[in-house]
Amino acid sequence: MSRPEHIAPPEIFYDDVESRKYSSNSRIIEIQTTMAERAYELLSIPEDKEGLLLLDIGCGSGISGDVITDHGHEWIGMDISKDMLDVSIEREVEGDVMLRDIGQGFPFRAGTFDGAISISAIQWLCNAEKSHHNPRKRLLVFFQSLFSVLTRGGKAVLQFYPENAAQIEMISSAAMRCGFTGGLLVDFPNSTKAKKYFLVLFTGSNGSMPAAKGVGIEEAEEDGVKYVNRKTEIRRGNINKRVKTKDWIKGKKERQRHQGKEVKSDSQYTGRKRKPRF
Amino acid sequence: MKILTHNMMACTKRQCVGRGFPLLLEVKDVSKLEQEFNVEFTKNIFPKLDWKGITMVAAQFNLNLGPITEKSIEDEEFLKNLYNLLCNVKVMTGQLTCPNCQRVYPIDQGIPNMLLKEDEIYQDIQPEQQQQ
Repeated sequence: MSRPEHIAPPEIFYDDVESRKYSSNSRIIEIQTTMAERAYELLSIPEDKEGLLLLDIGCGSGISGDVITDHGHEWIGMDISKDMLDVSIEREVEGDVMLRDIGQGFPFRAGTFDGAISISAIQWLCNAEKSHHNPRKRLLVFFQSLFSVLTRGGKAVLQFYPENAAQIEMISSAAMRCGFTGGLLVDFPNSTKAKKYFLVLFTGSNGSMPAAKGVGIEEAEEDGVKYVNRKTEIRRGNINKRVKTKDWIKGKKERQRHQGKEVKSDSQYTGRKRKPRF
Repeated sequence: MKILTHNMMACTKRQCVGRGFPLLLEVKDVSKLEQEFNVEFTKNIFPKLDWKGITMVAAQFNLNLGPITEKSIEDEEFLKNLYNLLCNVKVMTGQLTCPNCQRVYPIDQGIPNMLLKEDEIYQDIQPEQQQQ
């Protein structure tokens, strides 16, 4: 899979066209929603608790925000792509959005949010997009600021796509240096495609790490994001199955006869392959 | 941008830490939303609100919330008005000004632009963190 981080900075990569594509593709929506649901679950907010204020980091067009709204909470989101936010305004999401580079910290008073979620955003912080960017510094600013805007006992669940082990180390060590406890949780560690990294962080020390999903093999099949590869499809014979079989041709001719069209009569040669000419 | 967000926001440039709120709100265009009153949420958010910001904004919208005391949290009518102010007023165009450094953040199409320029970043790293 190509990595958008390698193509252009987020505010340029997610332009008008890309934002629209992102927010209308049902597969992307499904994956984002599933991940947001999982992130929400990892926040382990009691089921009867409603009306909290949550932070959505890298909210984009508000797909993950919708999940928060569905659970009865308010949210404030931020993103660096103006076009993505425009789409969220068009979609009339219930939460509030603002334009902000998360590497610059959060423009909020201390102790504002009861929790934070982030879907596929913080890996962008590992790249230096401008000459004055220093990924380590930006990560530190990010986590420091996150620590301060969360209430004590607040939790943050950040889903991200690390490029390599060094990035995981860089991100989680930055989080730990800023006073967070918690750690990395990997869902479906044995699958290349369904594998998802969640950084689960607590501001207090009383949190216990939730269990990862899909560590056993059977569970991995039914849960999580389904991935259908074109190659697998071909192997299973769902694609490139011969469509124009003899029966299909006969059926079509029959249909056209009913429509009163001029159709050649059937013979023993109907639906046969021509012999090769060379 | 909802008033709720405005109330939570602060300027995060280093010289403004602890002083960068409430941001002065200048409103050009407002739209009303119609979200249903949520008691639970209003009660949860109550202790976190910055009342200086609330009274400032309420005055701008000519809204009289009445006296605010610790008992206000039990007053249904008060909470309803508060919720309407926080979640059903959306500033579409306008600007925010930091009371400390006078930095102006424009609001366009309901989205506040909080991006800092190159020379304004990295100022909020605390010295002890840098040494580690």
